[in-house]
Amino acid sequence: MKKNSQRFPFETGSKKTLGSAALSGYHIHLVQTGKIDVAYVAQLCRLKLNQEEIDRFNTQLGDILKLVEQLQKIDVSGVPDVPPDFAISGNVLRKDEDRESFPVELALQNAPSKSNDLFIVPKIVE
Amino acid sequence: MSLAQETLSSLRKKLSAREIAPEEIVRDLLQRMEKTEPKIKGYLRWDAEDALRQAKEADISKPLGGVPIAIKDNINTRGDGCTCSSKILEGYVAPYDATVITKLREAGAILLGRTNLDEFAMGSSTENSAITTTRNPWDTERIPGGSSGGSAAVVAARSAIAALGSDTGGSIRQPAALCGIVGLKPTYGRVSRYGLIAFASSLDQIGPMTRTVEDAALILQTIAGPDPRENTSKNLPVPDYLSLMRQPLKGLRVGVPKEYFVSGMDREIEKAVRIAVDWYAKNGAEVIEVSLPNAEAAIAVYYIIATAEASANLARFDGVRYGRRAKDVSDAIDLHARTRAEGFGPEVKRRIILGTYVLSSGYYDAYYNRAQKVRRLMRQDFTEAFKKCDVLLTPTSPTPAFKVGEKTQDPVEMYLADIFTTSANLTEVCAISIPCGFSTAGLPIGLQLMGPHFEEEKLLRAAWNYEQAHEWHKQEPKL
Repeated sequence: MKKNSQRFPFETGSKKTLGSAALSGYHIHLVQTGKIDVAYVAQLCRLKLNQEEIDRFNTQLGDILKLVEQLQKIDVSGVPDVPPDFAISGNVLRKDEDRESFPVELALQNAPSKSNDLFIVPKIVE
Repeated sequence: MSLAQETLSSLRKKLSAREIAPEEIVRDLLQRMEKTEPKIKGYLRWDAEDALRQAKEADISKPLGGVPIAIKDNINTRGDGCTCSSKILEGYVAPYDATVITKLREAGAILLGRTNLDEFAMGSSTENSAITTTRNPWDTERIPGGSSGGSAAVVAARSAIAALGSDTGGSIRQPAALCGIVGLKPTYGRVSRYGLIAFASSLDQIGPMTRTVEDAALILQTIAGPDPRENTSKNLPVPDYLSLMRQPLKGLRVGVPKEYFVSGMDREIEKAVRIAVDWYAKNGAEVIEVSLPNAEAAIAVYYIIATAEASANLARFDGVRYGRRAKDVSDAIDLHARTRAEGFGPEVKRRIILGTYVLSSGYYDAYYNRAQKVRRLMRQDFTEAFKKCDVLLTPTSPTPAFKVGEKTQDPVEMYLADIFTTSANLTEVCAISIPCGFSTAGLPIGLQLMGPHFEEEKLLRAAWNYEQAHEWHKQEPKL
């Protein structure tokens, strides 16, 4: 699946924000050991973990990977290399018609920080 | 007898005959909740005043008119919280109704109580709830199953008439089995998920949790059908389940997949399910041995696909639009990373990490892509099996309810609780769990029936006929 590599965050411009520690993690990550580099993956999915969590997850996720390794034994040659196009789960499309949208006030009612009908976030651009 | 002990269908008959009023049911339930909830903790919250107001306004001429139904706290109900039993959704107020809630309201049902779940429906015991652990009404030292453990426990404890749950890998059926009630996971596409907070979008379904098969059919009749807001809900007519379920068993072919009776499974469960198989054979059904060769891979496929989808679905919890937000952050990345670290519990973090990993470059083919291929093979297995039989019969859970804390240290052990249920989600078929006995320790045992896509009536027919000849569903836990 060549297409998937485009989804990799380093190729979509987030290199700078993650810093060089993450970049070195990238190389370690590519080694096919079947062991998750938890500290690295946690950065990808925006989870700040402490060392105790990293150690615990490393062990636990190692066990889970052993469980899922059994898939390597199943012969999938000849099965098409695309996500399943199940007839059942296929999308049902509706007509593209005008309809009332969600009122701004309601959409913002749960925002932890808002102003002038906008969500407020920390400054992103330097 | 308290009205709280009655079934949905018997209450509907009494309401229609004007023998009782909806307020009486609500009052009896509130009284029952006061007694059972300190021990069970199945509800996260309820609003007595609001329920009594709904009862006063209820139109009893409607199909579910005047009957209270409890809702799992991952289904949005306008103006109420929807915590998913997570700290990250503390303070969140739902701005709209899920489609199933709209349909329940239109059918005259009273919404009473929000039930506990494993955080974001990830778990098999409710121990992953960040709010409380629900107890099994049959033995309060034990878990009720999960993730819809709150819904299952309150229905079993007679502190709810019926409830809605959601099922991604067994989250309706496994707790139903462990609490001795009926739990139905409809076919993928049968019930709209609009307003259900997504866990794994190619697997999630909403379904009824009830004390009888007839009650499950009644609720399914109401919540099933296409929804223009949900593009996986299929535009198919909804059959008349209540009449179709009453068809005799004669001619029904019951397939027993040999891979589901594995060595090492609980002996009492195997025995109870084998006795049920014999009952079907003696009562007009044709019992056939079938094979689902890739059944063994279900858990592995499930934990790759479900976590991959969860890692994407839960990206929306970033401290910007709703829910919790970390304080004193240095920048936007820090805001996301710390909000999520503070808001999510350990199981949710584990699954997000695993899901991110199996989708990442270099690992995608080995895990995610391979899992999708095996999923396709599993689906072929089911298609082949359903050429030979109308329903498949298996155990629902490999063990009866386990003790609180017994499996919390070992995620893999906990994941194996779903060994018999994940296949139905992965192959998108419908499945139901019904009570089929008790262990010597007095814990409920459930059997699972799985049926072809959009043929819930076959499940209901097989389940209803069995229920008519047995008394398991009439047993009440002593509380």
